[in-house]
Amino acid sequence: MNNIQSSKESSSFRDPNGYIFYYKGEPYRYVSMEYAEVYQQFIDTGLYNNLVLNSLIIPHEEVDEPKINTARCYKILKPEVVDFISYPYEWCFSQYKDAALAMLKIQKIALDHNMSLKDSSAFNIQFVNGKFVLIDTLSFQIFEDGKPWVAYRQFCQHFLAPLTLMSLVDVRLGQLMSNYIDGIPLDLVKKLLPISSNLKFGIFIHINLHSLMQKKHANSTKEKTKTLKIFGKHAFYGLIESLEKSISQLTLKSKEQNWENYYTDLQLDKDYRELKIEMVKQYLDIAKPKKLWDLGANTGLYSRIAVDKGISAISFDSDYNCVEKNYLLIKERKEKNHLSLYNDITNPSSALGWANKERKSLTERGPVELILALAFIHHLAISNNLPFEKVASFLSSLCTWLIIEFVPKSDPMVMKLLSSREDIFPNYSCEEFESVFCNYFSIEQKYLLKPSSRIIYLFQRK
Amino acid sequence: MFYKKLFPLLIFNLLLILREDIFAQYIDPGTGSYLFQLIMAGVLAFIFFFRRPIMNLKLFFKKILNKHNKLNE
Repeated sequence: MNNIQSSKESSSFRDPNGYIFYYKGEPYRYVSMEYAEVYQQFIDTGLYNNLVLNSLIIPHEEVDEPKINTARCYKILKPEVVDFISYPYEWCFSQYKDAALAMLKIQKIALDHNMSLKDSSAFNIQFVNGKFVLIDTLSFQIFEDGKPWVAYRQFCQHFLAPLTLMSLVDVRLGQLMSNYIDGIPLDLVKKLLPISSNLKFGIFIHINLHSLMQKKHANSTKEKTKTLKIFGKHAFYGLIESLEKSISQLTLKSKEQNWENYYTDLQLDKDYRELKIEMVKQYLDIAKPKKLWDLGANTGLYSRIAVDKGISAISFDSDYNCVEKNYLLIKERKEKNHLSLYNDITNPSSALGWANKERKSLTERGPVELILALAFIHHLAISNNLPFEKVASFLSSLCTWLIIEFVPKSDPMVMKLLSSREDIFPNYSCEEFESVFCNYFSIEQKYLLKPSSRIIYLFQRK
Repeated sequence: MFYKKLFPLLIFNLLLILREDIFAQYIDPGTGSYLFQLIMAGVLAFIFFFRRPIMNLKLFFKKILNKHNKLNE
């Protein structure tokens, strides 16, 4: 295989010891000869097996095909495929916390096997089968007594910093991870944190003091000389335990937001809800998707119908509290095929990083067989002035099947949206909605959700 | 005054000693972060050695206290 460069994963270029490439649409990992000794220790010490047993790393197979025409190739690995790559700026607080604790657990197990993580990027952790696992098999190096953790700065910037801000300042600050792709700078975190954060020993040490030290040595020069062994293994374990404790103690301030109690709202009739659940079940039986995205999923009530049918679902919402509540439900119900993510569909995650190719946009991570967009269209059309044409075109680029609910102007929720603004939407009607959407989709089913005046549709892309 | 002059010298020497390790990595460990861990090494080792015994001691007294309370009830 000679044209490997052209099939290389665009985000896999930092580590000189290997990279991900695609062959016949499947991902493979190239391991270079320079990494042979470390890779062998990773396998021979039982570290790999231990991590697989604890569901902390993505399992892989060593394969003979495809062959790479280079003497520098040590192994080709075929890792298990991750269905959907999510990014830290799409995680809620508890997801982020679980990911951080998983990373520290991996590091502890690695130390027990005389190895250590050489990088601790939050982008290397993914939610697979209901658990956070490390997807970068080559993230390890042989532990050398006396040397501090090379990935300490990265861990603090990728995990501790966003979690501290989300916990002590505002949960929405998790979004800073999309601006700072190599983690949030500690000096910025220090500025944003309240003075009282110094009372938390872990935060004081790992953020505030650490940041001062970084500032002090920002412009140091390079020299070469020997190693001084003063950072023993006990100090290393102490560091990991201290980080673990600091993260475990962080909690989310309970703050009620707009949509968290939507389902329990008195305005929403029980009969309407039951009928809607029944219709979603029926439409799913017609479309028979294997995977779906639920846009504006709230706490995932309707995604869960699909999940219980064995369909893989990703619930997106722009309310952190809803995403959090949904994630906790996923954990409680041990749903392996359900992922709850933050995403504002009016401004979905964009392509980021080097040449805008390191982190994919939301649309690049599609398409999906079916999209659920229930009680959602009025938010797009009225709250965000989005014409039906743009919504229909966008959704048709993402899915084959669409279950969508039209909420008319007579609905109390739309009236609420229009109560504080001028009605500049003369074309917001059921007829106009159908006419525009029928340019992209054909109506397979439609049903009036009595006693409300809302209509639920099953569309198939033309 | 003496310590003020000595501290930068100590850091500078540590830097000279550790440079090779720091720059052999493919991700930047950050000089400050690297040195910070070295300075904290004692505290971190203390955490590792004494956290568990202290926690066990706490648990031990908690158990005794609970027993005592139950007996009183």
